[in-house]
Amino acid sequence: MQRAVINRWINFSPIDGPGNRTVIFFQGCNLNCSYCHNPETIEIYDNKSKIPGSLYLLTVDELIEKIKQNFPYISGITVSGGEPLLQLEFIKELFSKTKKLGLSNFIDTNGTIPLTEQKTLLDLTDGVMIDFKASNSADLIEVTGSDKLEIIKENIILLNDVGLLHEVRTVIAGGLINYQENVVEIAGFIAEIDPEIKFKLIAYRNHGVENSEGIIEPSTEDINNYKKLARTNGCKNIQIIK
Amino acid sequence: MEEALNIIKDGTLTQQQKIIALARQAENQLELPGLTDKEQDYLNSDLVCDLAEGQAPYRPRYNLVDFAKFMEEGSEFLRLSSPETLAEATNNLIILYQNIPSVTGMPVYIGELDKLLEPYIDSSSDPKSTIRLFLTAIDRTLPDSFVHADIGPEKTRAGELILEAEKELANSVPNLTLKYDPELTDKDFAIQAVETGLEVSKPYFANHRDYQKIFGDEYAIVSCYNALPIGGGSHTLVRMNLKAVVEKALEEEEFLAVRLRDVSKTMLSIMDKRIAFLCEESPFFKSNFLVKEGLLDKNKYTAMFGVYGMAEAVNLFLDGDSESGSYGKTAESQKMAKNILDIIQNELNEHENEHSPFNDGHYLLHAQSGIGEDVDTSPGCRIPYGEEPSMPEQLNFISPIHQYFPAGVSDIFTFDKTYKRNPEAILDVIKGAFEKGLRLFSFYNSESDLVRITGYLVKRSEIEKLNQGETVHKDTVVLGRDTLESSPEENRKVR
Repeated sequence: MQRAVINRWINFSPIDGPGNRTVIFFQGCNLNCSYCHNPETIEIYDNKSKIPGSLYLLTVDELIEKIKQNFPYISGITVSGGEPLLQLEFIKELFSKTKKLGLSNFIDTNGTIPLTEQKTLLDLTDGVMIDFKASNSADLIEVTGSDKLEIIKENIILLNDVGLLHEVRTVIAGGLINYQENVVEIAGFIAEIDPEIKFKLIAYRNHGVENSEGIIEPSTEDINNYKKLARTNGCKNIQIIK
Repeated sequence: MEEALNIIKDGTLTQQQKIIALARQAENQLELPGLTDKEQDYLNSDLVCDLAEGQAPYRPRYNLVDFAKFMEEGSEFLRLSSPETLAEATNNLIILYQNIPSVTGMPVYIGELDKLLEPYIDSSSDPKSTIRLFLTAIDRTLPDSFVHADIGPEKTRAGELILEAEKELANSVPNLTLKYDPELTDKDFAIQAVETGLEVSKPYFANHRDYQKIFGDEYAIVSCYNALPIGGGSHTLVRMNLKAVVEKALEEEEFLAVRLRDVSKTMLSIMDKRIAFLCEESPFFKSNFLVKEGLLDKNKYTAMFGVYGMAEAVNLFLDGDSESGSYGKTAESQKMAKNILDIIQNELNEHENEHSPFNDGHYLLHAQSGIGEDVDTSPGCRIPYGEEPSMPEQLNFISPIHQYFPAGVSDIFTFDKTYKRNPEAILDVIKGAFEKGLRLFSFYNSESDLVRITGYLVKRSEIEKLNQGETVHKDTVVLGRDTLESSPEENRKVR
């Protein structure tokens, strides 16, 4: 019986995919982003006997038991984290059961886990929100601590091909990297695949971030300029989150 | 007479508000005939309350005029013929509204506006502008937040224009309900209604499929959130304070069921006497033109048996403390609430009133929303503000309880502004809740100027004006201020 390490869940969320959704935050991330809003979800617990009491170690059925009260009121569930796909086998089992219950399955991922071999997972998935935090290796290392640029790009192309790409997201965290260049390149990459792909620009907020030194909240004007830039570079479906 | 003088000297009342208050003062010089000492005692205690209806009922409390008939036939008394254009239709309605009696002096129901106006939309060169003028006239000439309009369930051009105009005008009047059925209401229309709700705190969503089972198609949501038959209404609304009933039972060391039956029977008898005066002494059902012209039909009247303070009653009984306890949190508290309602419903089933033919003479249970003076009691069967569990738990708890109230019940939910980006999320919640049996879903955005008090809308900015000693146009602003002070709706959990 497989178990996942889960940080917490939100019963109702309007911001994690279409409709009302229950969001499950899985524990553990393979990145270490300087602006992470959920730093408590980063640490990976390989030895599951040693997880702290604040986390949950649950089987799929146990997790469903805890969230099933929400089912009448939601369109589906979204797995988030941390990086949920680090616990991929569990998610496949979870999705197969929620699917049977008539719920839709969404994934909120940092894009660094290759999806090319994951046909079973994708067959059970209804949509993916994927991060594209920087457009070149150096900046990606600066922001996330590792270089998975090619995997992220391949995943975006693949997800679009199979009709599962719900949105691509870039956090604008001033002072960290040159976002003029990055937005231009990411928008160009997206527009070449399909100008109608939803491109979400998320303004970084200090609230909840542990190491916010040197990172600046972008102004409304900045964000609007990036939106224009994305539009100039071919994206037609841009959303700003402030 | 001192009270009359106080009304006259009150600088915060408008002229119209003074006239209504003086009329009520005059009526209350009389005494409702036939009340026993016990009935009088209960009315004087906090067990039973007649909600300031007056001592000599000369019109039913809630009248739901058959506006469809009025549009078709006009009115001989008002010298109005059936309208041919949108301007005539809205003008006729505005005239009729001024002639519909109620306790507040203003109509509690102004029609299924989309259905009434739809036939005139296509031939109008600028329907939006006419509808805006119509809605503005309603807000300014009927300054009472219990004035209530209905739309839906089907999407119509008129319905869309009404929602658009309401969103732009942001008026507190009329109160508005969308009769919602996922199978009959187009999704885009429902989403438009949610978007409107997040801006101007209306419309309510009413569980159409569920209400249809009780009333058929001929019903409307009126006043606060009362559900009543169109063409008739409710003679009266009297209410029972469930917390006070539990207190009394504990004090007298008697079984709660015994006291509940006793208070129910006494209240039913009080209601009978009010209705007897209205139907036998007052000439309303003989002389009023609305009755004579068939726009109101005596056979479609019932009466509303209100209860409130359920949360405090259950908490006091189960936990020994009315202020905090298990209501809303445990299955046991839900069972207790159902037991209380079963006992009362049984009394209603056994009681018949000859003047209230609707529902074979049995009065309808109503979850009364409270009034400004209420302290330490929650509206109807609501979980006390601030004590609500998580939203799914709250919905799972209250939805089955809603099923006990054919004549109206509601719960109010406050959402933060992130929902504006995803109105479909709220529609998901509503759909689920309706499947679970919830009857009326009310919501607003926590930052809106229009705040949903117990069952009506008031502008925070108007309350502020009143607090500064200024006269305000709407009578319900005073009620809203008093209610906010005694039971802060601001404490409702924001989702």
